Amino acid sequence: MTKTTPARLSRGARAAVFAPLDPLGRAEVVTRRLSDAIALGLLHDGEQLPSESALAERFGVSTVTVREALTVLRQRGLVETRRGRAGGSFVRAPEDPAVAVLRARLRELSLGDIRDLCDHYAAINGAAARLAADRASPEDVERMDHDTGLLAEASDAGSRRRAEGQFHVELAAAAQSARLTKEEIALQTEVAPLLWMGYDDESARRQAVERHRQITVAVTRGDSSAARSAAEAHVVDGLRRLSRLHRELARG
Amino acid sequence: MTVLAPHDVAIVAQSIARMGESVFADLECLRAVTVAALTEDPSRRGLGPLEPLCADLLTRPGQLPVGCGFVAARDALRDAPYWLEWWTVPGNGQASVPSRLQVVVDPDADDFRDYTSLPWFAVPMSTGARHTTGPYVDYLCTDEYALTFSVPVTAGGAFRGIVGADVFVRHVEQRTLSQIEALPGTVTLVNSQGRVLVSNDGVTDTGSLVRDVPVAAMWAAPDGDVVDQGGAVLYRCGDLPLALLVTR
Repeated sequence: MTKTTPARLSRGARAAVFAPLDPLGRAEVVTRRLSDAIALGLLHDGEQLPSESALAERFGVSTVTVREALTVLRQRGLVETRRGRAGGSFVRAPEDPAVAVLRARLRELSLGDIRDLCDHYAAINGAAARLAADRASPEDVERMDHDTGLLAEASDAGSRRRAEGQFHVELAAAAQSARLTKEEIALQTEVAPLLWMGYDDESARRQAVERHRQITVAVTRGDSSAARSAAEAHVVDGLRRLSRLHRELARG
Repeated sequence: MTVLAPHDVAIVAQSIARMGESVFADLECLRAVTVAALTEDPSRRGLGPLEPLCADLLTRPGQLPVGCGFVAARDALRDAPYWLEWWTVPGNGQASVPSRLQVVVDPDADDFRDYTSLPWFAVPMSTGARHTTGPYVDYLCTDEYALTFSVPVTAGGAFRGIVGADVFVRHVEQRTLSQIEALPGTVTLVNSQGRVLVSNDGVTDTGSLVRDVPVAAMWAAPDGDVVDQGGAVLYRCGDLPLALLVTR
């Protein structure tokens, strides 16, 4: 066996090594479990939840923790509590469950977490854009154009998210890198829904369409540094919207 | 000074052509079985006879494809608007039982990808002729850098989808690099756009586009297996959209 080299980690890197593994409190875990179940439709609109003591027993937590979680869910409008003989906690499924679960997840992230996710996503997208400018064929660019058109025409949140995601997968594929494409797809499931949830806002969508055009034009020209800058700026646009939304949610 | 041996280059180009043609020959069998199945029962269950044939096609010794099957045109099956009856093996040299590819085919799902606009489907659909796509990142099926060979399927006079086969670019490299290395001069296997599959010059990366030689323009030149332009010579690999580019 080779001799272990002395660790030369910076203080920041050492701190990351010893960072807490589970930053969520128990009440938050319960909250998240229930809100995910509601968003996924596992718990139906109007369905009565088990009593506080039954939930506490099932989750293996105290009733205080359950009560805390239910309070948060009530504040988010996902649960309604009725008093009296036929009382209890009832599920209130939101109209667009996907948005509700995204909001719930966004609350749980810190501004630093959001920035870090965006750093990772910008690194992958920026590198993909740079390489695509070197390697894209006219057909690759055509597909990127097509996806930008889909985003411009998308009429609901689902088709906007899909058009946005598709553009970025095509960009990574245009870089001719299977690894970057896989990384893009993996990251999309984690970050993209959050990043583009602000698309309810028409000006945000116009800005995104404009960024897609900038990236596509730079790729067409073979201008790798402009392609990279536009791709990174596109992610930063999302980061700005996301942190604004996060702060709004925190204000309640 | 390097002395080129055009005869040898042409032989390697022909052997690459044979490699591709053997994939198309397999697809011809698959097409015939698919047409029969669709005529009998145009449903997911009706595609049952494809499985043993695909399994054989993927596991016969020395086979190049790592995925093959039938991809249905919109509403070609009566019980699914979109459908891929597609089988894959890992392609890592280990013997294994082919598994059926699971793809999101619900057009309302967030991660649904409408494959009918992708080149391996759209080109044979519009031209009615066989097509070779790539090299490209195949994010729908293999998640790898691949070539896809596809052939249109028509039944009862209507387009019903394609049968196709995926081949990894790295497997093409494994089978051709030693031959290309043995050739004198700088030799690069490219597609009709000048996209590089493999080169013997050490600085031409797989997946990059050859820019100092106008490959696409040379490709458009009148028929002939060998196109010579300004010292760069293109040796076509038969009827495939692939060629060996020889530069000094």
